[in-house]
Amino acid sequence: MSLPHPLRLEHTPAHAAPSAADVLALRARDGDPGAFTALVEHMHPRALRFAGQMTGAARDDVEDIVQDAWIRTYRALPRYDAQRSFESWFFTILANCCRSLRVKLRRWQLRSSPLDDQMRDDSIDPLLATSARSDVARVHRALATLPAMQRETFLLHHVEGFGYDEIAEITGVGVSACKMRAKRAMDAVRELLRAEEIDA
Amino acid sequence: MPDEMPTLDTRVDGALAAMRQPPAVPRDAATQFAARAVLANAPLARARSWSWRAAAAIAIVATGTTIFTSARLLSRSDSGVAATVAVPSTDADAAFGALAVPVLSTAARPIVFELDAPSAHSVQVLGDFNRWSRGATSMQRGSDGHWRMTTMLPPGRYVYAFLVDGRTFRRDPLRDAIEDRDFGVTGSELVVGEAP
Repeated sequence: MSLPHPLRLEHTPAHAAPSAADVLALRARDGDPGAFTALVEHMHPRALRFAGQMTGAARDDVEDIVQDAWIRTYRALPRYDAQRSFESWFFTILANCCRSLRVKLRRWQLRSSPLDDQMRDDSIDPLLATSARSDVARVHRALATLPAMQRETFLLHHVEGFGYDEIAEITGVGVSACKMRAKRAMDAVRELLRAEEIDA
Repeated sequence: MPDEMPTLDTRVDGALAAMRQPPAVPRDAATQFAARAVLANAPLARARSWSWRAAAAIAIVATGTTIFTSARLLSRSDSGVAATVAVPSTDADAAFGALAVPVLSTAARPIVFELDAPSAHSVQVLGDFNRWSRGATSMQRGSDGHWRMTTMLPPGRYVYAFLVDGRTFRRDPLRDAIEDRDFGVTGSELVVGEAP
């Protein structure tokens, strides 16, 4: 027998203590005009980072993806559920926008080089040591060879810091499947780094 | 003696750490993204005023508009991103004010200003960050009679005051009174990036 859903106070996310984004999202949802701007400013770098590494697209295309995600987020904001982390809710929208771009490119740009070959390294911090930059490029190349869902899970977990339960919410698949995808992606990354180390 | 080769785990960790670095975002770029998102969802009936609204939305952010009132700031680091957020105080004796927390980075952080003024018809926040410009920052009245607004402010020292009903300046009683030497106005001091 299932127990009734516990009562929770409004504006009290069930996932954990409210984050900065949770607070701002609730304020934006409730009509504070400055809160949405503050929310975008707070989340924007992460959104660009994820969309860029997920799609490997050029900066302009990445910004288009993120803009589309913010438009959809603003439209859906009245339906934002305070029980859910805003970050995972937003990344659900953002991940969908990234998938839409991939479908669009597959449909319209097959004549050009495959998207996976466009993993760009120009976003890598130039101040990083050369060896670290090379390894980032190798990780990007390894991710580009993976199915999109594995790459998505890898980035959400290892770069964006989401737990597997949150990734399950974002991607709509089970926790076990998420763990498997992340493991396979990590295996591929490690394999490529090891292989190139041997080649060198 | 040659340098020791990093292990595979070290290389993976190093690459991931580099991938977690957020990309550089031009100043005010996020503001423009927010403004376009709002405009894209505006009702069609308001289409004729889009250009004005776009300019206003972008201008508001560009001038660093802010809000003030009783506020309590909450610091939290999520996924490696330092964040500082202001949330309204529930303390009955904290009717006004703005508290700052230690800074973890030099990035601008969301700050909520809140003023308990249930009988007011309008409240604005004016300060050196918006050049004391009337009309730049209007606060929104909540059902509890508190006026609130959120803005992003980088670490620094600010002087501000509330303008109630367009004619009465009120400084923050929880903060020291201070004169803004650039604009000749006496207001309250807020230091973003230091403990209150």
